[in-house]
Amino acid sequence: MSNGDRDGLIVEGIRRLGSVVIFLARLLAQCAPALGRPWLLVHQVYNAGARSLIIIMLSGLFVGMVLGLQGYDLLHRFGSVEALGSAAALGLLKELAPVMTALLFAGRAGTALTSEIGLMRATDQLTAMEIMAVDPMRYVAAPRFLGGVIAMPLLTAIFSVVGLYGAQLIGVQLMGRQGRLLVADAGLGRAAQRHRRRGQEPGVRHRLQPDRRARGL
Amino acid sequence: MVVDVRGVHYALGGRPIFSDLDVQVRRGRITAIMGPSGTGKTTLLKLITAQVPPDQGELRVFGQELAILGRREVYGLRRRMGMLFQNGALLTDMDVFENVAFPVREHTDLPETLIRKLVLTKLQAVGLRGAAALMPAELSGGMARRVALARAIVMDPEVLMYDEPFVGLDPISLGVILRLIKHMNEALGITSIVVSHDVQELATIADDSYLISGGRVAASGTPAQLRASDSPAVRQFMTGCAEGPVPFHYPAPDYATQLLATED
Repeated sequence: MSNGDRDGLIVEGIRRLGSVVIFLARLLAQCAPALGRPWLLVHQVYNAGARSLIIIMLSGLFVGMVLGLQGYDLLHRFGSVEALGSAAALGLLKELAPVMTALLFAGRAGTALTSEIGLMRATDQLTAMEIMAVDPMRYVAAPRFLGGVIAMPLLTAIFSVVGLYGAQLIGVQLMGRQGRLLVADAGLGRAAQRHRRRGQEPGVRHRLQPDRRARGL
Repeated sequence: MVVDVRGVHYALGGRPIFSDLDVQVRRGRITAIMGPSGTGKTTLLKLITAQVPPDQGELRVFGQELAILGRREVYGLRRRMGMLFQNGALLTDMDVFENVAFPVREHTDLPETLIRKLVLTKLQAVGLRGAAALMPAELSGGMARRVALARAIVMDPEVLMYDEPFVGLDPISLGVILRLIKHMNEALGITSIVVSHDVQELATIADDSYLISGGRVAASGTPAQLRASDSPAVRQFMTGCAEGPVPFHYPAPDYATQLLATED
Protein backbone atom coordinates (compact mmCIF):
# COMPACT_ATOMS: atom_id res chain seq x y z
CA MET A 1 0.00 0.00 0.00
CA SER A 2 1.44 3.35 -1.05
CA ASN A 3 1.51 6.39 1.20
CA GLY A 4 -1.14 8.03 -0.94
CA ASP A 5 -3.51 5.06 -0.52
CA ARG A 6 -2.95 5.00 3.22
CA ASP A 7 -3.58 8.74 3.51
CA GLY A 8 -6.73 8.33 1.45
CA LEU A 9 -7.98 5.57 3.76
CA ILE A 10 -7.28 7.66 6.86
CA VAL A 11 -9.04 10.69 5.38
CA GLU A 12 -11.99 8.50 4.37
CA GLY A 13 -12.14 7.02 7.90
CA ILE A 14 -12.13 10.47 9.50
CA ARG A 15 -14.74 11.67 7.01
CA ARG A 16 -17.06 8.77 7.91
CA LEU A 17 -16.51 9.30 11.61
CA GLY A 18 -17.33 12.97 11.13
CA SER A 19 -20.53 12.21 9.24
CA VAL A 20 -21.64 9.80 12.01
CA VAL A 21 -21.00 12.47 14.66
CA ILE A 22 -22.91 15.06 12.61
CA PHE A 23 -25.76 12.55 12.19
CA LEU A 24 -25.88 12.00 15.96
CA ALA A 25 -25.81 15.75 16.65
CA ARG A 26 -28.68 16.36 14.20
CA LEU A 27 -30.61 13.44 15.71
CA LEU A 28 -30.23 14.80 19.24
CA ALA A 29 -31.20 18.28 18.06
CA GLN A 30 -34.43 16.88 16.61
CA CYS A 31 -35.38 14.97 19.78
CA ALA A 32 -37.04 17.97 21.45
CA PRO A 33 -39.29 18.77 18.43
CA ALA A 34 -40.12 15.04 18.17
CA LEU A 35 -41.50 15.13 21.72
CA GLY A 36 -44.22 17.40 20.34
CA ARG A 37 -45.67 14.45 18.43
CA PRO A 38 -46.63 12.07 21.22
CA TRP A 39 -48.64 9.76 18.93
CA LEU A 40 -45.52 9.06 16.82
CA LEU A 41 -43.57 8.39 20.00
CA VAL A 42 -46.18 6.03 21.42
CA HIS A 43 -46.24 4.15 18.13
CA GLN A 44 -42.47 3.74 18.21
CA VAL A 45 -42.41 2.64 21.87
CA TYR A 46 -44.92 -0.01 20.83
CA ASN A 47 -42.87 -0.91 17.75
CA ALA A 48 -39.52 -1.15 19.51
CA GLY A 49 -40.70 -2.16 22.98
CA ALA A 50 -43.93 -4.14 22.93
CA ARG A 51 -42.93 -6.09 19.85
CA SER A 52 -39.67 -7.16 21.53
CA LEU A 53 -41.48 -8.37 24.66
CA ILE A 54 -41.80 -12.04 23.72
CA ILE A 55 -38.13 -12.57 22.88
CA ILE A 56 -37.06 -10.54 25.95
CA MET A 57 -39.33 -12.49 28.31
CA LEU A 58 -38.43 -15.86 26.83
CA SER A 59 -34.71 -15.14 27.05
CA GLY A 60 -35.10 -13.72 30.56
CA LEU A 61 -36.92 -16.82 31.72
CA PHE A 62 -34.27 -19.19 30.41
CA VAL A 63 -31.33 -17.09 31.63
CA GLY A 64 -32.94 -17.03 35.08
CA MET A 65 -33.58 -20.76 35.00
CA VAL A 66 -29.97 -21.48 34.03
CA LEU A 67 -28.76 -19.20 36.82
CA GLY A 68 -31.05 -21.01 39.26
CA LEU A 69 -29.96 -24.46 38.18
CA GLN A 70 -26.23 -23.85 37.99
CA GLY A 71 -26.24 -21.67 41.08
CA TYR A 72 -28.13 -24.28 43.07
CA ASP A 73 -25.84 -27.06 41.89
CA LEU A 74 -22.69 -25.15 42.85
CA LEU A 75 -23.90 -23.61 46.09
CA HIS A 76 -25.37 -26.90 47.25
CA ARG A 77 -21.89 -28.44 47.31
CA PHE A 78 -20.71 -25.79 49.75
CA GLY A 79 -23.89 -25.80 51.79
CA SER A 80 -24.64 -22.23 50.85
CA VAL A 81 -27.86 -22.72 48.95
CA GLU A 82 -29.23 -19.79 50.95
CA ALA A 83 -27.12 -17.45 48.81
CA LEU A 84 -28.89 -18.55 45.62
CA GLY A 85 -31.41 -15.70 45.76
CA SER A 86 -28.73 -13.04 46.17
CA ALA A 87 -26.55 -14.52 43.46
CA ALA A 88 -29.39 -14.75 40.95
CA ALA A 89 -30.76 -11.31 41.79
CA LEU A 90 -27.41 -9.53 41.72
CA GLY A 91 -26.29 -11.29 38.56
CA LEU A 92 -29.50 -10.46 36.78
CA LEU A 93 -30.09 -6.92 37.98
CA LYS A 94 -26.54 -5.67 37.75
CA GLU A 95 -25.10 -7.41 34.71
CA LEU A 96 -27.12 -9.94 32.79
CA ALA A 97 -30.39 -8.09 32.30
CA PRO A 98 -28.95 -4.84 30.87
CA VAL A 99 -26.42 -6.60 28.64
CA MET A 100 -28.74 -9.34 27.39
CA THR A 101 -31.59 -6.88 26.83
CA ALA A 102 -29.27 -4.56 24.91
CA LEU A 103 -28.10 -7.42 22.67
CA LEU A 104 -31.60 -8.75 22.10
CA PHE A 105 -32.95 -5.24 21.54
CA ALA A 106 -30.26 -4.55 18.96
CA GLY A 107 -31.03 -7.86 17.29
CA ARG A 108 -34.81 -7.61 17.29
CA ALA A 109 -35.76 -3.91 17.25
CA GLY A 110 -32.50 -2.66 15.68
CA THR A 111 -32.74 -4.85 12.60
CA ALA A 112 -36.47 -4.13 12.23
CA LEU A 113 -35.77 -0.37 12.31
CA THR A 114 -32.86 -0.67 9.91
CA SER A 115 -34.85 -2.67 7.36
CA GLU A 116 -37.83 -0.31 7.70
CA ILE A 117 -35.73 2.81 7.13
CA GLY A 118 -33.74 1.05 4.38
CA LEU A 119 -36.98 0.24 2.57
CA MET A 120 -38.12 3.85 2.95
CA ARG A 121 -34.84 5.00 1.44
CA ALA A 122 -35.06 2.49 -1.44
CA THR A 123 -38.63 3.50 -2.32
CA ASP A 124 -37.78 7.23 -2.23
CA GLN A 125 -40.06 7.87 0.75
CA LEU A 126 -37.31 9.75 2.61
CA THR A 127 -36.49 11.81 -0.49
CA ALA A 128 -40.20 12.56 -0.92
CA MET A 129 -40.30 13.86 2.67
CA GLU A 130 -37.25 16.03 1.96
CA ILE A 131 -38.98 17.49 -1.10
CA MET A 132 -42.13 18.11 0.96
CA ALA A 133 -39.90 20.13 3.32
CA VAL A 134 -40.36 17.58 6.13
CA ASP A 135 -37.06 16.67 7.78
CA PRO A 136 -36.87 12.83 7.88
CA MET A 137 -34.55 13.20 10.83
CA ARG A 138 -37.41 14.76 12.80
CA TYR A 139 -40.22 12.63 11.45
CA VAL A 140 -38.52 9.22 11.03
CA ALA A 141 -35.26 9.03 12.98
CA ALA A 142 -35.91 11.01 16.20
CA PRO A 143 -39.18 9.27 17.24
CA ARG A 144 -37.56 5.85 16.69
CA PHE A 145 -34.52 6.87 18.69
CA LEU A 146 -36.64 8.22 21.55
CA GLY A 147 -38.89 5.15 21.38
CA GLY A 148 -35.81 2.99 21.94
CA VAL A 149 -34.58 5.20 24.76
CA ILE A 150 -37.93 4.80 26.54
CA ALA A 151 -38.39 1.10 25.78
CA MET A 152 -34.91 -0.12 26.76
CA PRO A 153 -35.08 0.46 30.57
CA LEU A 154 -38.60 -0.99 30.67
CA LEU A 155 -37.50 -4.08 28.80
CA THR A 156 -34.48 -4.43 31.12
CA ALA A 157 -36.80 -4.32 34.13
CA ILE A 158 -39.09 -6.94 32.59
CA PHE A 159 -36.08 -9.12 31.77
CA SER A 160 -34.97 -8.93 35.43
CA VAL A 161 -38.41 -9.79 36.79
CA VAL A 162 -38.94 -12.72 34.45
CA GLY A 163 -35.36 -13.87 35.04
CA LEU A 164 -35.90 -13.85 38.81
CA TYR A 165 -39.07 -15.82 38.30
CA GLY A 166 -37.07 -18.34 36.24
CA ALA A 167 -34.47 -18.66 39.01
CA GLN A 168 -37.22 -19.07 41.58
CA LEU A 169 -38.90 -21.68 39.41
CA ILE A 170 -35.77 -23.86 39.43
CA GLY A 171 -34.38 -22.98 42.86
CA VAL A 172 -37.65 -23.20 44.80
CA GLN A 173 -40.29 -25.10 42.84
CA LEU A 174 -37.98 -27.73 41.36
CA MET A 175 -35.10 -28.05 43.84
CA GLY A 176 -37.19 -27.37 46.93
CA ARG A 177 -35.39 -24.28 48.20
CA GLN A 178 -37.59 -22.23 50.56
CA GLY A 179 -39.35 -19.45 48.66
CA ARG A 180 -39.42 -17.19 51.69
CA LEU A 181 -35.67 -17.44 52.01
CA LEU A 182 -34.97 -16.83 48.34
CA VAL A 183 -36.73 -13.51 48.56
CA ALA A 184 -35.09 -12.68 51.86
CA ASP A 185 -31.63 -13.64 50.51
CA ALA A 186 -32.01 -11.33 47.57
CA GLY A 187 -32.63 -8.49 49.95
CA LEU A 188 -36.07 -7.94 48.48
CA GLY A 189 -38.40 -9.27 51.21
CA ARG A 190 -39.80 -7.60 54.30
CA ALA A 191 -37.52 -9.66 56.53
CA ALA A 192 -34.50 -8.38 54.68
CA GLN A 193 -35.67 -4.82 55.06
CA ARG A 194 -36.16 -5.40 58.77
CA HIS A 195 -32.62 -6.71 59.00
CA ARG A 196 -31.30 -3.72 57.16
CA ARG A 197 -33.00 -1.39 59.56
CA ARG A 198 -31.26 -3.24 62.38
CA GLY A 199 -27.96 -2.83 60.57
CA GLN A 200 -27.68 -6.52 59.65
CA GLU A 201 -26.80 -7.95 56.28
CA PRO A 202 -29.88 -9.68 54.85
CA GLY A 203 -29.50 -13.40 54.37
CA VAL A 204 -26.65 -13.74 56.87
CA ARG A 205 -28.95 -15.11 59.53
CA HIS A 206 -29.95 -17.92 57.22
CA ARG A 207 -26.38 -18.85 56.50
CA LEU A 208 -25.53 -19.03 60.19
CA GLN A 209 -28.71 -20.85 61.12
CA PRO A 210 -29.42 -23.53 58.54
CA ASP A 211 -33.04 -24.27 57.83
CA ARG A 212 -34.55 -25.87 60.91
CA ARG A 213 -37.09 -27.88 59.03
CA ALA A 214 -34.32 -29.41 56.99
CA ARG A 215 -32.77 -30.71 60.21
CA GLY A 216 -36.09 -32.05 61.40
CA LEU A 217 -36.41 -29.59 64.28
CA MET B 1 -37.74 32.56 -14.90
CA VAL B 2 -38.49 29.88 -12.30
CA VAL B 3 -35.38 27.77 -12.69
CA ASP B 4 -32.14 29.12 -14.09
CA VAL B 5 -29.23 26.72 -14.50
CA ARG B 6 -26.06 28.30 -15.85
CA GLY B 7 -22.72 26.63 -16.54
CA VAL B 8 -23.32 23.84 -14.05
CA HIS B 9 -20.70 21.13 -13.64
CA TYR B 10 -21.46 18.05 -11.60
CA ALA B 11 -19.56 14.79 -11.17
CA LEU B 12 -20.66 11.67 -9.32
CA GLY B 13 -17.93 9.38 -7.98
CA GLY B 14 -15.36 10.94 -10.29
CA ARG B 15 -17.57 10.46 -13.38
CA PRO B 16 -18.69 13.75 -14.91
CA ILE B 17 -22.49 13.93 -15.32
CA PHE B 18 -22.86 17.55 -16.39
CA SER B 19 -20.26 19.81 -17.94
CA ASP B 20 -21.38 23.35 -18.59
CA LEU B 21 -25.13 22.71 -18.49
CA ASP B 22 -27.55 25.56 -19.26
CA VAL B 23 -31.29 25.09 -18.71
CA GLN B 24 -33.96 27.76 -18.24
CA VAL B 25 -37.51 27.02 -17.14
CA ARG B 26 -40.03 29.79 -17.75
CA ARG B 27 -43.00 30.48 -15.52
CA GLY B 28 -46.31 28.90 -16.45
CA ARG B 29 -44.91 26.60 -19.13
CA ILE B 30 -44.33 22.88 -19.48
CA THR B 31 -40.65 22.24 -20.00
CA ALA B 32 -39.54 18.80 -21.12
CA ILE B 33 -36.10 17.50 -20.20
CA MET B 34 -35.27 14.62 -22.54
CA GLY B 35 -32.23 12.48 -23.10
CA PRO B 36 -31.02 8.89 -23.27
CA SER B 37 -30.88 6.83 -20.07
CA GLY B 38 -27.99 7.69 -17.81
CA THR B 39 -27.55 11.28 -18.99
CA GLY B 40 -28.47 12.64 -15.57
CA LYS B 41 -32.04 13.81 -16.12
CA THR B 42 -33.06 12.77 -12.61
CA THR B 43 -29.81 14.22 -11.27
CA LEU B 44 -30.87 17.57 -12.74
CA LEU B 45 -34.05 17.42 -10.63
CA LYS B 46 -31.91 16.62 -7.57
CA LEU B 47 -29.82 19.72 -8.31
CA ILE B 48 -32.92 21.90 -8.75
CA THR B 49 -34.45 20.66 -5.47
CA ALA B 50 -31.12 21.26 -3.68
CA GLN B 51 -30.68 17.62 -2.72
CA VAL B 52 -27.14 17.74 -4.11
CA PRO B 53 -24.98 20.83 -4.68
CA PRO B 54 -23.35 21.45 -8.08
CA ASP B 55 -19.55 21.31 -8.23
CA GLN B 56 -19.44 24.52 -10.22
CA GLY B 57 -21.82 26.97 -11.85
CA GLU B 58 -24.87 28.95 -10.90
CA LEU B 59 -28.26 27.47 -9.98
CA ARG B 60 -31.15 29.79 -9.24
CA VAL B 61 -34.67 28.74 -8.25
CA PHE B 62 -37.33 31.45 -7.85
CA GLY B 63 -34.47 33.90 -8.31
CA GLN B 64 -32.53 32.62 -5.28
CA GLU B 65 -29.03 31.21 -5.57
CA LEU B 66 -29.21 27.72 -4.02
CA ALA B 67 -25.54 27.54 -3.04
CA ILE B 68 -25.84 30.25 -0.38
CA LEU B 69 -29.06 28.99 1.22
CA GLY B 70 -29.14 27.27 4.60
CA ARG B 71 -31.26 24.22 5.42
CA ARG B 72 -34.15 26.34 6.67
CA GLU B 73 -34.25 28.49 3.53
CA VAL B 74 -34.01 25.40 1.32
CA TYR B 75 -37.03 23.93 3.12
CA GLY B 76 -38.85 27.22 2.62
CA LEU B 77 -38.10 27.01 -1.10
CA ARG B 78 -39.21 23.38 -1.31
CA ARG B 79 -42.60 24.27 0.10
CA ARG B 80 -43.17 26.11 -3.15
CA MET B 81 -42.27 22.99 -5.17
CA GLY B 82 -43.91 19.65 -5.76
CA MET B 83 -42.40 16.51 -7.16
CA LEU B 84 -43.86 13.37 -8.62
CA PHE B 85 -41.58 10.36 -8.22
CA GLN B 86 -41.35 7.52 -10.70
CA ASN B 87 -42.73 4.98 -8.20
CA GLY B 88 -44.99 7.47 -6.41
CA ALA B 89 -42.94 7.29 -3.18
CA LEU B 90 -46.10 7.09 -1.07
CA LEU B 91 -45.62 6.54 2.65
CA THR B 92 -46.46 2.86 3.02
CA ASP B 93 -47.82 2.97 6.57
CA MET B 94 -50.58 5.48 5.75
CA ASP B 95 -53.68 5.17 3.58
CA VAL B 96 -54.27 7.29 0.49
CA PHE B 97 -56.12 10.04 2.39
CA GLU B 98 -53.38 10.38 5.03
CA ASN B 99 -50.69 10.39 2.35
CA VAL B 100 -52.29 13.37 0.63
CA ALA B 101 -52.98 15.06 3.98
CA PHE B 102 -49.40 14.52 5.18
CA PRO B 103 -47.82 17.79 3.91
CA VAL B 104 -50.85 19.79 5.11
CA ARG B 105 -50.68 18.31 8.60
CA GLU B 106 -46.93 18.89 8.75
CA HIS B 107 -46.96 22.50 7.60
CA THR B 108 -50.26 23.94 8.75
CA ASP B 109 -52.58 23.95 11.75
CA LEU B 110 -55.75 23.76 9.68
CA PRO B 111 -58.82 22.26 11.35
CA GLU B 112 -59.63 18.64 10.49
CA THR B 113 -62.78 19.54 8.51
CA LEU B 114 -60.81 21.85 6.24
CA ILE B 115 -58.02 19.28 5.74
CA ARG B 116 -60.67 16.73 4.79
CA LYS B 117 -62.21 19.05 2.21
CA LEU B 118 -58.82 20.01 0.80
CA VAL B 119 -57.67 16.39 0.45
CA LEU B 120 -60.95 15.26 -1.10
CA THR B 121 -60.75 18.13 -3.63
CA LYS B 122 -57.26 17.08 -4.69
CA LEU B 123 -58.21 13.40 -4.84
CA GLN B 124 -61.24 14.34 -6.95
CA ALA B 125 -58.91 16.22 -9.33
CA VAL B 126 -56.94 13.00 -9.96
CA GLY B 127 -60.10 10.88 -10.02
CA LEU B 128 -59.33 8.85 -6.89
CA ARG B 129 -61.70 10.27 -4.27
CA GLY B 130 -63.22 6.80 -4.00
CA ALA B 131 -59.83 5.26 -3.19
CA ALA B 132 -59.19 7.46 -0.15
CA ALA B 133 -59.31 4.54 2.30
CA LEU B 134 -57.00 2.23 0.33
CA MET B 135 -53.43 1.50 1.41
CA PRO B 136 -50.58 2.18 -1.06
CA ALA B 137 -49.98 -1.57 -1.45
CA GLU B 138 -53.52 -1.95 -2.83
CA LEU B 139 -52.98 0.56 -5.65
CA SER B 140 -51.87 -0.11 -9.22
CA GLY B 141 -48.80 1.71 -10.56
CA GLY B 142 -50.90 4.32 -12.38
CA MET B 143 -53.13 4.91 -9.34
CA ALA B 144 -50.12 5.28 -7.01
CA ARG B 145 -48.72 7.90 -9.35
CA ARG B 146 -52.01 9.80 -9.37
CA VAL B 147 -52.19 9.74 -5.56
CA ALA B 148 -48.62 11.03 -5.50
CA LEU B 149 -49.72 13.77 -7.90
CA ALA B 150 -52.56 14.73 -5.56
CA ARG B 151 -50.06 14.87 -2.70
CA ALA B 152 -47.66 16.97 -4.79
CA ILE B 153 -50.35 19.59 -5.53
CA VAL B 154 -52.03 19.64 -2.12
CA MET B 155 -49.90 22.58 -0.93
CA ASP B 156 -50.54 24.44 -4.21
CA PRO B 157 -46.92 24.55 -5.42
CA GLU B 158 -45.70 27.03 -8.01
CA VAL B 159 -43.57 24.49 -9.81
CA LEU B 160 -44.19 20.78 -10.24
CA MET B 161 -41.49 18.32 -11.28
CA TYR B 162 -42.30 14.98 -12.84
CA ASP B 163 -39.61 12.28 -12.78
CA GLU B 164 -40.27 9.79 -15.59
CA PRO B 165 -44.06 9.98 -15.21
CA PHE B 166 -44.85 7.66 -18.14
CA VAL B 167 -42.63 4.67 -17.31
CA GLY B 168 -44.42 1.34 -16.99
CA LEU B 169 -47.96 2.62 -17.55
CA ASP B 170 -50.66 1.06 -19.71
CA PRO B 171 -52.00 3.29 -22.54
CA ILE B 172 -55.07 4.34 -20.52
CA SER B 173 -53.10 5.34 -17.39
CA LEU B 174 -50.53 7.04 -19.60
CA GLY B 175 -53.22 9.10 -21.31
CA VAL B 176 -54.69 10.02 -17.91
CA ILE B 177 -51.32 11.20 -16.57
CA LEU B 178 -50.65 13.17 -19.75
CA ARG B 179 -54.00 14.93 -19.49
CA LEU B 180 -53.44 15.61 -15.80
CA ILE B 181 -50.06 17.24 -16.42
CA LYS B 182 -51.61 19.46 -19.07
CA HIS B 183 -54.61 20.19 -16.84
CA MET B 184 -52.47 21.12 -13.81
CA ASN B 185 -50.52 23.49 -16.00
CA GLU B 186 -53.51 25.15 -17.65
CA ALA B 187 -56.05 25.23 -14.80
CA LEU B 188 -53.73 25.91 -11.86
CA GLY B 189 -51.00 27.76 -13.74
CA ILE B 190 -48.33 25.47 -12.32
CA THR B 191 -44.95 25.59 -14.01
CA SER B 192 -44.06 22.02 -14.94
CA ILE B 193 -40.74 20.29 -15.52
CA VAL B 194 -41.17 16.85 -17.06
CA VAL B 195 -38.16 14.55 -17.16
CA SER B 196 -38.66 11.69 -19.56
CA HIS B 197 -37.39 9.92 -22.64
CA ASP B 198 -40.81 9.30 -24.14
CA VAL B 199 -40.49 11.64 -27.08
CA GLN B 200 -43.95 11.11 -28.60
CA GLU B 201 -45.83 11.70 -25.35
CA LEU B 202 -43.83 14.79 -24.43
CA ALA B 203 -44.26 16.32 -27.88
CA THR B 204 -48.01 16.56 -27.31
CA ILE B 205 -47.81 18.61 -24.11
CA ALA B 206 -44.43 20.36 -23.86
CA ASP B 207 -44.01 24.08 -24.60
CA ASP B 208 -40.22 23.98 -24.39
CA SER B 209 -37.89 21.03 -24.53
CA TYR B 210 -34.27 20.34 -23.83
CA LEU B 211 -32.35 17.37 -25.12
CA ILE B 212 -29.46 16.54 -22.83
CA SER B 213 -26.63 14.39 -24.12
CA GLY B 214 -23.03 14.01 -23.05
CA GLY B 215 -23.44 16.24 -19.99
CA ARG B 216 -24.70 19.31 -21.85
CA VAL B 217 -27.73 20.53 -23.77
CA ALA B 218 -27.55 19.00 -27.24
CA ALA B 219 -30.60 20.85 -28.49
CA SER B 220 -33.41 23.02 -27.21
CA GLY B 221 -36.60 24.57 -28.53
CA THR B 222 -40.17 23.47 -29.12
CA PRO B 223 -40.73 19.75 -29.78
CA ALA B 224 -41.40 20.60 -33.45
CA GLN B 225 -38.06 22.41 -33.72
CA LEU B 226 -36.30 19.42 -32.20
CA ARG B 227 -37.93 17.07 -34.67
CA ALA B 228 -36.88 19.29 -37.57
CA SER B 229 -33.27 19.45 -36.32
CA ASP B 230 -30.60 18.14 -38.69
CA SER B 231 -28.10 17.44 -35.92
CA PRO B 232 -27.24 13.70 -36.04
CA ALA B 233 -27.43 13.35 -32.22
CA VAL B 234 -30.90 14.93 -32.07
CA ARG B 235 -32.16 12.95 -35.07
CA GLN B 236 -30.94 9.68 -33.58
CA PHE B 237 -32.74 10.35 -30.29
CA MET B 238 -35.96 11.58 -31.85
CA THR B 239 -36.19 8.66 -34.30
CA GLY B 240 -34.79 6.00 -31.97
CA CYS B 241 -32.06 4.66 -34.31
CA ALA B 242 -29.54 2.21 -32.89
CA GLU B 243 -26.73 3.67 -34.99
CA GLY B 244 -25.59 7.27 -34.65
CA PRO B 245 -23.46 9.46 -32.42
CA VAL B 246 -24.69 7.49 -29.38
CA PRO B 247 -23.20 4.06 -30.15
CA PHE B 248 -25.15 0.83 -29.65
CA HIS B 249 -22.01 -0.88 -28.31
CA TYR B 250 -20.42 0.03 -25.04
CA PRO B 251 -16.67 0.55 -25.65
CA ALA B 252 -15.05 -2.90 -25.87
CA PRO B 253 -11.95 -4.62 -27.35
CA ASP B 254 -12.19 -6.08 -30.84
CA TYR B 255 -14.94 -8.71 -31.05
CA ALA B 256 -13.02 -11.36 -33.06
CA THR B 257 -9.86 -10.91 -31.01
CA GLN B 258 -11.75 -11.34 -27.75
CA LEU B 259 -13.61 -14.44 -28.97
CA LEU B 260 -10.47 -16.16 -30.25
CA ALA B 261 -8.32 -15.25 -27.28
CA THR B 262 -7.54 -18.08 -24.83
CA GLU B 263 -8.73 -17.58 -21.31
CA ASP B 264 -6.01 -16.69 -18.88
